[in-house]
Amino acid sequence: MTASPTTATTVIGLEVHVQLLTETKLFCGCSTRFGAPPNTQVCPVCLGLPGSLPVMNRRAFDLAVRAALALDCRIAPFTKWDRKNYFYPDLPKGYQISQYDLPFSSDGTLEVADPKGAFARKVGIIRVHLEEDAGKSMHDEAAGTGDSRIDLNRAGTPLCEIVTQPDLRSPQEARAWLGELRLLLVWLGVSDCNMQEGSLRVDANVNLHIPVEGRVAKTPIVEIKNLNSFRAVERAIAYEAARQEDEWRTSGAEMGRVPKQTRGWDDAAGVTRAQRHKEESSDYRYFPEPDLVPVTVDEARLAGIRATMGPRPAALRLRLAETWGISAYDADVLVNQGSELVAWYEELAGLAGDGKVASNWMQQDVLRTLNERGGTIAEFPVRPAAVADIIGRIAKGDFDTSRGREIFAEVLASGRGVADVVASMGIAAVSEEELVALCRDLLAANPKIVADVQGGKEQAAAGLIGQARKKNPNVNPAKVRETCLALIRAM
Amino acid sequence: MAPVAIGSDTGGSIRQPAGLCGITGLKPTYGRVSRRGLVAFASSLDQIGPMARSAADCALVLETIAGHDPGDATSLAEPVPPYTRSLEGSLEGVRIGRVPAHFGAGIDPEVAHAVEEAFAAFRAAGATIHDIDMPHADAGVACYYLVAPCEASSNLARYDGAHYGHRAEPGRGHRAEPGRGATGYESALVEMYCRSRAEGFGPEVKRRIMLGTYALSAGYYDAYYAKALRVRRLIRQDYLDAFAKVDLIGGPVSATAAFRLGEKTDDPLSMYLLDLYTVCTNLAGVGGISFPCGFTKSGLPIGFQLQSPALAEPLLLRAADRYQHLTDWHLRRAPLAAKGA
Ligand SMILES: [Zn+2]
Repeated sequence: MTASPTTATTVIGLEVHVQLLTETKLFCGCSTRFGAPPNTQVCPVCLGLPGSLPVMNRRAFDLAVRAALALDCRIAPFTKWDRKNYFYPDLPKGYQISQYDLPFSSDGTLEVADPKGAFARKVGIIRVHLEEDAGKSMHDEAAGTGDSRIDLNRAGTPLCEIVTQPDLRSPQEARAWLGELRLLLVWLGVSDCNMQEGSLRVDANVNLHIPVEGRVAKTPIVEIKNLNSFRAVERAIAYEAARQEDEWRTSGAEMGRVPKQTRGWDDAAGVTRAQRHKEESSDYRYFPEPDLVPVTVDEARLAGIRATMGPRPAALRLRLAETWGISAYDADVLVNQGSELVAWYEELAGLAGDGKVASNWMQQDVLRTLNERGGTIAEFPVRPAAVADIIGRIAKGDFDTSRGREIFAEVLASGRGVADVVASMGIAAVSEEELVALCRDLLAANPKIVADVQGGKEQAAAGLIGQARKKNPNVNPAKVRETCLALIRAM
Repeated sequence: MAPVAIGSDTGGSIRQPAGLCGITGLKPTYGRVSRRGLVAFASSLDQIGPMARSAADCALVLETIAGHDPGDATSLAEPVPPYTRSLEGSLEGVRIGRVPAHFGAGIDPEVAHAVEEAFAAFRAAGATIHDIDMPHADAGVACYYLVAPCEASSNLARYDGAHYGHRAEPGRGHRAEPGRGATGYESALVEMYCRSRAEGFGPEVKRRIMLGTYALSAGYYDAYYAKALRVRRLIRQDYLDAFAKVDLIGGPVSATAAFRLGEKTDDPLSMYLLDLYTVCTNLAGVGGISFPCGFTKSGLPIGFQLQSPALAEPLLLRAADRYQHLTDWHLRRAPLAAKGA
């Protein structure tokens, strides 16, 4: 691939399919639960049997509106359904109920900013529409042999399709934007966005803008499919940008002269491959779905949905930084963990009375432990009040932070209260007299360190702290250092 | 054999057979009877209705089958009136529209005569007859033969051999072409689709699927389907305008009496023109009833059609029932049928 530095700009637009978190399918009452045995969550409607008719699931529609509002989209007061006609074994009716020319929402934006300032991008949303999912087929029909199997459990599951403007400019931006989108949708309870279970699917449209002789050459747009993880999105776009630049150098082909191409990402090989032409040239013969009635959405309904949404992640990052005096980076780390963790943090910060210290504890202790143990913050056995108790005792000088961590670990492991653990670990505040007596002993036993400090090397006092902790693990290192230096100065 | 039956009417399939056979057939307002369970042909036109010896029997059946169905999004939520009780009352002051264009070229003089006699009977019963214009009615058949095949081409897509219905035996391909594999199809899947549908559908259904598929295709949609929807709106407006002036619209059901078995099946276009008087009812979604009003000299039944505004079935049934109290055409049997009985 190209090794020479490039002046090309990578232009990326995304098409994201998100499965909505509904109990039942979009047009029938079947369960949407993942992982059931094949064809056990089906009925005449989602099997497309003759005489069956679809009826819209209002909850799915409202969830989709929630997503669109979160993306600052305009919600159409009147929207209709259309049939997208094509033959495929996993599509039992021979058409998919979707939305064509009057999607329920359009013209939104979602911004993404790198917390370290590497990029900030406002990405336009062209449209968000609702449609039913197809089933799943596992087959070998290309070879003309072997049985094809079809599982229609997924057929009829509600999907939101989100189409962005080509506003992203690098693979990293695309990945970060998808992360922000996922955070937002999980945050609002719209979707679980689980890529392994197919709740979130991404196609990327990529081309290059290359400055050449006073104009910009645009390479043909390639749609990349089969992107199974955010990492795959990032890698595939990077690969495709390099491949397009190479191809442009050899062929000079520009957009418009060749049709849009579809390429599939091969994650193991790390390459995109052209897909068969057949899959790209389809005439879907869209027309209005006569079995369903148009949907109207009034202001009262929108207001009702808005009222349940609460602050979105971007607004919450700013509020956390302002309210608790933490950095934008720290606010980003906390918010990216989801709304439950933010609530946990704010409870801790309030009880501890120090947002920064609370943020350090969240990131260094709570989050780290959570990542090791797995599970969600709701299942975390230690409550904010316990951590706040430890932080308060450290602030009072009962013990230092590293001793505090040991207490936290013991509280976590034993499930006992902080006071109980402190007592059982033999931790007691060291009195001023005890401390001075201990420091005098240390100075007497370490004349070389005393001489070094007297000679101007204050850092030599550090050697006393380890010895102090061996004599009494409850001493506060900072206080040991302070006391020793004062005693030496007074000699 | 049976006192009543139900049928589906997409462009006249209850009213025309009723007219040609000498019975009474009602196509209710679109959405009055649930379509759930009906094998869909053209979803926006299909409607279930009764076929019986008399309007009173139709009223009894409609009272039973009409009403809202939460399982059919297009079914109407309006309460169901007691149709059998709405038969009481006279036709005094009821305004019935007559469309002069219905009696133009193409109508059998015997049919025209019987229909005019029926108008006279309604006048005698106290109704007033008014000539009205339905300016877009002559585009009805063209409009119908776009809307219905478009929807049918999609509704019939599910009979693909994969899930439901006939599936062709594999491996008997015959259209071998270079680069298309041994069977002549680009894949086993495409072969299954093509051959299952080729074997399973009859020629008229195939014709309509092709017509609909063509009209919905990219590049033709605006010229055909979108234009047909505009014409449909104009036809609907014709009815709204007409029903501002009259309460019901009367006229023939078919231009001629029944044709001989196999007589017209080789000429689809002339078959389609038989639907001239019935398709607009479906395009507008209003109600229509057909009942016997005489016989040709050769003894074939002639039908009369009344159409009503949406949900005006009580009046529609009352008018037909009054007529059947004043005449006995609905009780007579065609001589041919009588001979066979
Ligand atoms: Zn179902």
